[in-house]
Amino acid sequence: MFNLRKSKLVVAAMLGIATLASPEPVVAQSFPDKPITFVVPWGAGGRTDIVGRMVSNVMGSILEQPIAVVNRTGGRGAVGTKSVLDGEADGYTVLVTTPGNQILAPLFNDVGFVPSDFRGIGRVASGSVIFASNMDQPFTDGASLIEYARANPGAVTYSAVKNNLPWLAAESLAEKAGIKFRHVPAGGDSEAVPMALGGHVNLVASSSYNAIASQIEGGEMRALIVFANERMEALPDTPTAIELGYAVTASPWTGIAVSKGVPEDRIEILRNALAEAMETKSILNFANSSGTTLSYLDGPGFEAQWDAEFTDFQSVVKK
Amino acid sequence: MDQILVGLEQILQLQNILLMIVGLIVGIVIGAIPGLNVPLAVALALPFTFSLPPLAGISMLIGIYKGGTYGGSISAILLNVPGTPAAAATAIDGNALARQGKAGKALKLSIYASVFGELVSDIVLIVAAAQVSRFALKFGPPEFFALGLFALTIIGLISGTGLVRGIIAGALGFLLSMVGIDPVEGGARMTFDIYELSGGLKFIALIIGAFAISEALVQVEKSARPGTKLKVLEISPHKADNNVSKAEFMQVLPAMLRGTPLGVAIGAIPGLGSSIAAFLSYGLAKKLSKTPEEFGKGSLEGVAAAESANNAVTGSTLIPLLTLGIPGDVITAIMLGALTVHGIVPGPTLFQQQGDFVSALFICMLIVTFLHFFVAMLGLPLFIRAVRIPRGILFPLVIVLCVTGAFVATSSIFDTMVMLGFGVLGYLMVKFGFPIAPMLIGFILGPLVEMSLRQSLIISGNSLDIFFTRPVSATLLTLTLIIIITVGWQRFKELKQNEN
Amino acid sequence: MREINKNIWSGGVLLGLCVVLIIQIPGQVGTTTDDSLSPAFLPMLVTALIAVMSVFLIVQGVLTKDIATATPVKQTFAEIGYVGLCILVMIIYVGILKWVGFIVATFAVIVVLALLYGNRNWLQILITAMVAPPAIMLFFRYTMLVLLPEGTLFN
Repeated sequence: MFNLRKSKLVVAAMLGIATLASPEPVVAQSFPDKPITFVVPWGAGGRTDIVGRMVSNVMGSILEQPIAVVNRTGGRGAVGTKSVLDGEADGYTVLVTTPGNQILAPLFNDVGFVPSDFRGIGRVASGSVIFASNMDQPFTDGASLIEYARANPGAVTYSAVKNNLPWLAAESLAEKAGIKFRHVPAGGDSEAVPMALGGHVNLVASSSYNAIASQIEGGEMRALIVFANERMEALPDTPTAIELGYAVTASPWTGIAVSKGVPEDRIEILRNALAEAMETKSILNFANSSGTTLSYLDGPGFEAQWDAEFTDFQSVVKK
Repeated sequence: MDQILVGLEQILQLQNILLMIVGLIVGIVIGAIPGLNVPLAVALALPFTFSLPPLAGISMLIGIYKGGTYGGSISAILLNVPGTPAAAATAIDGNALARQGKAGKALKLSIYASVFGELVSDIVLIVAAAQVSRFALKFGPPEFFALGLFALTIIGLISGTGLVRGIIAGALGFLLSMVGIDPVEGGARMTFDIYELSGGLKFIALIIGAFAISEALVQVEKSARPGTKLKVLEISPHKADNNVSKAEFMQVLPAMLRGTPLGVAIGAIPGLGSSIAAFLSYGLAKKLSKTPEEFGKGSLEGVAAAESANNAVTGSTLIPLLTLGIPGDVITAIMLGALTVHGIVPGPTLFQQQGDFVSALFICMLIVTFLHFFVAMLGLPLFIRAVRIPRGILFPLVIVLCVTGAFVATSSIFDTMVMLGFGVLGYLMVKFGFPIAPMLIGFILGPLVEMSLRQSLIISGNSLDIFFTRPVSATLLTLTLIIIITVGWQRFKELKQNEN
Repeated sequence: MREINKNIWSGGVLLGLCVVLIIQIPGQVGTTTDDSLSPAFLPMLVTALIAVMSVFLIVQGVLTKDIATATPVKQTFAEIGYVGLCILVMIIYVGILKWVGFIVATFAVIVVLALLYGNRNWLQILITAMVAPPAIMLFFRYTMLVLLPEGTLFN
């Protein structure tokens, strides 16, 4: 009881300092006329979470409704993803989505949904899977890595989360190059990167440049291969897999989606809000300082990307 | 020197100091309220920090972190309901002291021990971050496995009455942690075709249920006994029972001096966390104490050991975060997020490119630690007053907060029900004489042990040599073996004596 | 109520559970064709460990009657009743939370629990039950942007 009163005081202080109080709108609009919830199927503080929170901040002020972000984790993101479908399809529950939870999870486990159960609001950001190793490896770049792996079958170990995009990229590359990597599963980039940095595995398949940026700039790690169509700006000397002769790309994106039962006009309102949000200064600043590569794609385009990737990945996984 | 001055100037702005105090108060209160916990508080404060300058935002997060890590011990001591997992070790002796009327003494000692641990930890972070991080990188899967096994053994052996019961409780925690998606192969495991179980059993549900709800159930029994006092706790009016004397402080100092470096080391290794530090330190203190029989019955050493190690994690956990960009736990993961949003990328280049920021941050850590002492001491009489609330109001509120906290943290009715299930399990365990703490440890260490074992075997190509050819893991495994043999020998002797 | 032997009972129940688990686990674990340690290995090992330990408990319970851990559970029916009711109230509370909304459900649950915990001071109970739910709700809503269920019953 007492503690509670105390915390209300704290609350008042916090509100005063941060001036983040969100006034209730006086007039009830058609949609949204109450707070919206963003479901992030991954943990707080992660890449998806940060992007989701930033977008929710800006979209909230555009829609004039506060947006609450909840992290509903577990089952490789599938539990949180499914929870968006289980609720009422009224547009007040929105999913912050990535390939791992929406496209890949249905391929490996019986999760009770497929990508097309969702409607795209839009893609916000995307990056590229990167192979990186510490400086003491018997290979120094992408070409010599593949050469080394070919000469020593099964000797190269890599750390990555199982059944997610970096793992898929590594396995596809190995298959196309006719070599074998040994996969050492990790709980996330924050576990996979130190394993490679400490030399416990030969390399890491990282899901973003951010996770290894400081190590590379500090000369502790080197990037070997980028799984993108073009070289990365930050890594002008690192070849793409395509340049090495293996057509493998893997781009972990973050986007916004809702259940497919949501009325069309509400989807339109959300799409417009996101499109507007992507032009705002605060999003651009955020992308700049946090090293996020914005790559806005509108709703229909986003949905088309899911379909294409779902088919693509299916054929890889089947093998 | 210049850098330090610039840092000092940056940090000593009124706004930053205010935010630290706000963070500390929020952290202590949220840590102390059963059902609400620190990672939740940090996650929810994250959006606030977006709108603040980086240093101000991180000041607040550090305040919440340090305050919350300490705050859990308040409810652990007063109500036997640890507000944070790490405080479960404090609850064992802290609450025993409180039941003797010595709540004031236990609370004060926990403040002294926490602040002591924090201070040392901050200093290690400031002085030796680079060296320590190199040591942390030596920890690969085999080392984690050996360390996990070592910790399980120590903690298992100290679980008080009944080794068998301790092992069962630990194994149960281990087993429960394996429900969900298998982290190695990605298949569903022990989900019994219940969809929600594929998300695994949530740690937060175990903490709130097994510790808080089970205590609430133990308390409701008292309604059946006519004449039970309405008050939860009697506070002794004697001054000596509410203060820590110099002699007592000197008596517990060795436990603190062991607990602190242990906490610092465990904080520096990503992925372990403060509860393991607290329990390991508690176990060691008991093993090395001159009066081990007092442990569990209100030993001051027990409280000091647990609390110093627990808070000694808070400084050193920033070592892997700042030097390698690797978050060691949920809270530092959120801090990493808060930093990257502001364009501060922790890692090897941070110290060169953002030296000002780093030195400001270090000063901030020290200031928060000092503020922590004063805020906690000022708040102390208020916490003690909170126990004057009659049982018939306090426990309904505890239950409501537990349900709300579990619901907010998981945003799932199913997981909230799981939390209640853990509550019933915890209650039954208490009734049948099983300790709950080993279940918690099994649940935390289980996934670490399993993952690192399987990772090691994949790396080594299914050869067990990998555990014995690497110095750190070989040492830890040998130590584990020695401990098992000595304790086994002691038990054997005790049994023989009993027969005679 | 009759006294029961803690060791024999808990050992017996645990052993039973382990047997069920050991039969169930292989069917409950999805395995792929990897050549490393099977996902079922550790669950089986840990369950087997619990089973062995429960056998110890039963043996202890049968052999020794005077060890501290063998003290029988002594529990009155009234105590069990209170605990059972408390559990029931909590389950119902969680179950109806989304339906009737946080404020109404919490008001009701505080009143019922306060009575269960032996409080008969109605003024105290009613003030707590009226102040606490909105206070908690506003705390989450405005400081942390977390929305507690408003309930669909009254819409």
